[in-house]
Amino acid sequence: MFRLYQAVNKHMKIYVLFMKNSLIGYMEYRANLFAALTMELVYLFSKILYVIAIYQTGIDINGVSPDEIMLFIGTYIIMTAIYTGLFMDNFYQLPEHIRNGTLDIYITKPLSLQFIATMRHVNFILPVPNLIAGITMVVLACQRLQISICFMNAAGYLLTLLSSTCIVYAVFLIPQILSFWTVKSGAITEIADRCWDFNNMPMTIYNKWMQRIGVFIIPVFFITNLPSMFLVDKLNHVYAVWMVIAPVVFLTLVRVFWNFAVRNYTSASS
Amino acid sequence: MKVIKVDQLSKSFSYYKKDVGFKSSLKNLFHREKLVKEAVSGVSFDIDEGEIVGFLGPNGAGKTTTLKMLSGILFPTSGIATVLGYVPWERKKDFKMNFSIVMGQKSQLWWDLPANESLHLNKYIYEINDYEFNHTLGELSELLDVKDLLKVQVRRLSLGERMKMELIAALIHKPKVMFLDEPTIGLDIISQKKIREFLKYYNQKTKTTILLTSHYMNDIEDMCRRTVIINQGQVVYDGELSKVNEVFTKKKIIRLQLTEWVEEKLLKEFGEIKEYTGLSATLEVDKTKLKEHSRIILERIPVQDFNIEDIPIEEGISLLYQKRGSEG
Repeated sequence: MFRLYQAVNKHMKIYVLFMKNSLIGYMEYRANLFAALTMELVYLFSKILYVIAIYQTGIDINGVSPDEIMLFIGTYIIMTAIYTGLFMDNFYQLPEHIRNGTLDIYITKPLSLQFIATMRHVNFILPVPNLIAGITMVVLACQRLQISICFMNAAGYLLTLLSSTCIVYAVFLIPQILSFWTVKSGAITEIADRCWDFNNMPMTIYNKWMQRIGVFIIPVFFITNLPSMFLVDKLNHVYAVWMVIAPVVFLTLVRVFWNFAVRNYTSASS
Repeated sequence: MKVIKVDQLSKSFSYYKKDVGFKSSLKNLFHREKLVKEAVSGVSFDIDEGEIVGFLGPNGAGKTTTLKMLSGILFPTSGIATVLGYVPWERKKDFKMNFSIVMGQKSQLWWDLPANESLHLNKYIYEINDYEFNHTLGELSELLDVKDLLKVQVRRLSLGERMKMELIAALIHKPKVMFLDEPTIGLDIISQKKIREFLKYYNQKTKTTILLTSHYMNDIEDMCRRTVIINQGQVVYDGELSKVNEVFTKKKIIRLQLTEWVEEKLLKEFGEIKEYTGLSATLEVDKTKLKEHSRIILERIPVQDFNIEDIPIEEGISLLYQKRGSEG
């Protein structure tokens, strides 16, 4: 137990260093940093237009009011920020590491290979506008829906986001792990990206069976629907329990799959 | 004490072939003939603590593949190996804490950051305390003469400087075993020499066991008392490099400078003529007849200068490479 604590502690410290190094890396290229920030600010403006568009339509979708939709979209945008900031770059690079044999050095380090390969890089530019826009939308929606922004609600919402983050990690890493066999995985990445877009509308627009599959089997609906449902008090007991169990199930699954796949690593010519 | 034990280690890769052209690509899309290449087949050797051993062989001989298995990067197809008592491909933490690998073509440094940031990261990865870290870093950077470069972005360093940083990154946790895969590749002669001198000094001082691969004969000749020559996945020689010829060739070289013109046919009876100008000649002579032929040459031929030499190591080795090649 003590060893586990030590290992977790070490990995957390190193994660902070990974973040620091990524940030320093951005700051080395000043022109690129400012250009990227400017571009992302323009992008932020387009997100605001999105909100205006929702209100102008003013219609309910399958019993979901525009305010609830704004809450939902806010959550979707926050989750997009988390995915693009923490995982996306690493996941996209994984097939490259496999193809070029650059995993070699990572394998020899006394750290979890999965940790280094999937969490080494943190993107500090891409998620900024999404994070601002997402949080603003969620707070605005909460006010309009008269959901009190108390400690319990905030903590609960953060926990549901944490649970979703675990699911994002597992669900979107699995397709990339396939590249241990296929080596190139551009097409697989494309499919995974399209799955992400399933999240930009509430799952109530789909039929019951689609919803069940999307929550329990390939939990793409899980990611933004469940945190939003928590805030509007629509999270039933089954979903609440699943929010606790699912991260454990899917993280274990991805771990087992990773370990199995790594045995197939053939490195590359040097 | 044996630090590295390798017994009948083998690794095969599957691959497929494709003929030139679109038609064969189309064919390959549906049916690929699977072929198996034995990169390493039945390699065995032991290395003692503190030894520095050179791994020599032509491209594709299986040097790097063996090194990758010994560092746990690849799983072998069959055979056993232990490094410091651990099976490398089990990838135990204690094993990883005590060895390191430097690959000439792959970097562990963060490209966009100064090297000291990567080294600082290694401090945490290898759980090194502040005192130990600063002490080792100071010592290594002084020895390699790169103290002022630690704060420079890695991508701005020259290849030689970067390799020195790679060495510091690999040695900062004082590993007991170190694998070096072509550490001097692409470097100029002076940088090569400096890195060789450093490794030799480091090995003598710390008794770190070093196994290195290189194409450059100088690397091996300079640093390693013992050389393992590998070709087509098999060990073809294990011993002192300077003695390669003793085992594999039964010839010696006689170089002659002559005072007057001598006919080529007169020299032919002593051995194979390698070079001939009329006033000088190089002969390859059978070792068993060396004494007798030398006496006759000195008696009958107008010799000004007479030298007996070993066949150059490079020649002995290329003979070895070809021998295996033709056998295979």
